[in-house]
Amino acid sequence: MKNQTLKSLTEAHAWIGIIISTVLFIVFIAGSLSLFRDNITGWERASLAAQSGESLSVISYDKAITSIAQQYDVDTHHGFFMREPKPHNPFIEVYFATHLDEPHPITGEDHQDQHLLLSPQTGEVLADANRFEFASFLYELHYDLGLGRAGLYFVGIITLFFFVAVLSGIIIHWRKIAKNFFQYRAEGKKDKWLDAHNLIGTMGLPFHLMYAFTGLVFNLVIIYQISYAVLLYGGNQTALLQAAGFNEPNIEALEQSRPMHGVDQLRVKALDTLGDVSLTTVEITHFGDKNAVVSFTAKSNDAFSNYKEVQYTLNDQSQIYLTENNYDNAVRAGLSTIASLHFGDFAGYGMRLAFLCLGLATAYLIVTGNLMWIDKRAKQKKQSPKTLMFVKRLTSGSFIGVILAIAVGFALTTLLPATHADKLETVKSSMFMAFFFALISSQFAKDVLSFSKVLLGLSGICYCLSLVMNMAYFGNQYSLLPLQTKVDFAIVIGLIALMALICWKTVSRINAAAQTTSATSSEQTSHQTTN
Amino acid sequence: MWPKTLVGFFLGLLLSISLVLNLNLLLPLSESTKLMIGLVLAFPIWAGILVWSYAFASAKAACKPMFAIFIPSLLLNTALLLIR
Repeated sequence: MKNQTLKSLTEAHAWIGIIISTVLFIVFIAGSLSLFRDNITGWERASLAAQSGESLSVISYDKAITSIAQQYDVDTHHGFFMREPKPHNPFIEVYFATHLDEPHPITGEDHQDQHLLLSPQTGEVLADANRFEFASFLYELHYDLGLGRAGLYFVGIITLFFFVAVLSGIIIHWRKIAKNFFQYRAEGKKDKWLDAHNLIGTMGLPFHLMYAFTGLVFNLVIIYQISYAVLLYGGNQTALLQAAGFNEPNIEALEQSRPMHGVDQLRVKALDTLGDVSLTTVEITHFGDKNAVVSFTAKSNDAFSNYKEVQYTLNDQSQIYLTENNYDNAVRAGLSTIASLHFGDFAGYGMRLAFLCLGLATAYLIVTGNLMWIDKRAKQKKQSPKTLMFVKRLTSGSFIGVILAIAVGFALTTLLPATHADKLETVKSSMFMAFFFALISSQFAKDVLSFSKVLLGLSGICYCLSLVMNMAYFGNQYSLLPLQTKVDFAIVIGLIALMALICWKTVSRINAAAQTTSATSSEQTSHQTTN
Repeated sequence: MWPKTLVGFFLGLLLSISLVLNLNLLLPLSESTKLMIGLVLAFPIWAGILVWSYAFASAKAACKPMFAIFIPSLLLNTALLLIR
């Protein structure tokens, strides 16, 4: 390959890295923690699980539906969606909309979305689920930065450029990829960041390629979906979805009301039909209508498994759809495998732990990329000092800002009582404020290293506070907590401790680097004086 | 760097759609297999073309070979869609 081509690609690799670094860092840190989303959810809902003492031996959807129908004016033109109780989350989790006579003062919509937790045995409404959604918010940060659909596409484009950075990195290092595979020169300043960057980049290469590709499929598949639908199916989106194996029947509402009973009988039937599966969701289309359809979705208990689905009409309990003919559909099966690969849910906790390590290592790779850029530019005479300082401050403020925001999130989720009316909103806004505080205040920092130490110290204090409070609660409530919740608690305590350790080790490294720099400069000064 | 990014981004997207469409119309496989192959190949093609555009000294230099692939591919798309 020509030297000019390699030079252009190296410049592009560094340029793309700097531009996407902040968003990519958020995506990887939030994504790494989200690998344990179910455990974080179980940890958040621990007090509710301990209070209600729910058992999963009996699950009654009929009681839950009756309870909701009695207490809420359900908007029948919206979906009615229930999650199967699980050891992590021993409640029936229900999503539906209530009818509003006047438009909603904030959204202007004629309905209000509801998200509740109900007892699987009695159907009693236990709590508003939105108060226990920190895990979901962390996950949202991973795929859309908490910005909805616009954020989803934005993260998709960032992922595309991450893919480009990975591919260009392979080309740049191709000739030395085997030779320098284990090279890490701990001594000497110049190549330390580069060695760490190359080492993590090479060792994590299959992981990076997999994440870049699967992330793109999740966030930007709409582009190819639209172009396929237009070019191959004459604009008929339904025909495309049918070819892709999503060919559920469409039954219209009759606009005649009917009580929603008989879901429990259908659940037994569905489990019998679907075989060795774990039910995940139950959805009622046309809730309250005579033509209501109940869909049961399940995941088969294999490693890379497809989602299976069976549908019944509630009125006469007849089966109208089963994922049988389309079960081996390449798109359906392929998307299922892509999802399993991305979430690392195909080989238990060991695999998720490996993914966590690789995810955090990738976050470190992003940091080293920025530090190399700064080191390299600092040596160039033409480089504007203002731009260099801006990138230095941005690197410090944005990266540590993410660590601080997540620390604030964990601390507030621990500290605020579950009865707090706007718990999730308070946690969310505090996290955003912490991030923007770090980002903006970094631009006024005179000494970036000292500023980084303060921010890391603050983050470490927040993690330690959460750690102490959670350990105290865990010790006090140990005998009352269900077994799975104990496991969830232990895992979350482990995650918080890991983040605290990262803060502490980073501060130690900054101190060590500062000492080395001052020792070197005083050595040079004494050398000059002797001469 | 921005001009090369824009060229790679838009021409890469168009080229990936066009090349994958040709494959879809030419391969003698089942409909769902062709769709999945398209999905698997489209993103790497798009990212690969972006990398390719960065390998050139300028956006103008990157445009020439890309159009040299895109135009025949587009003509093949048209022909295959017409005779389908």
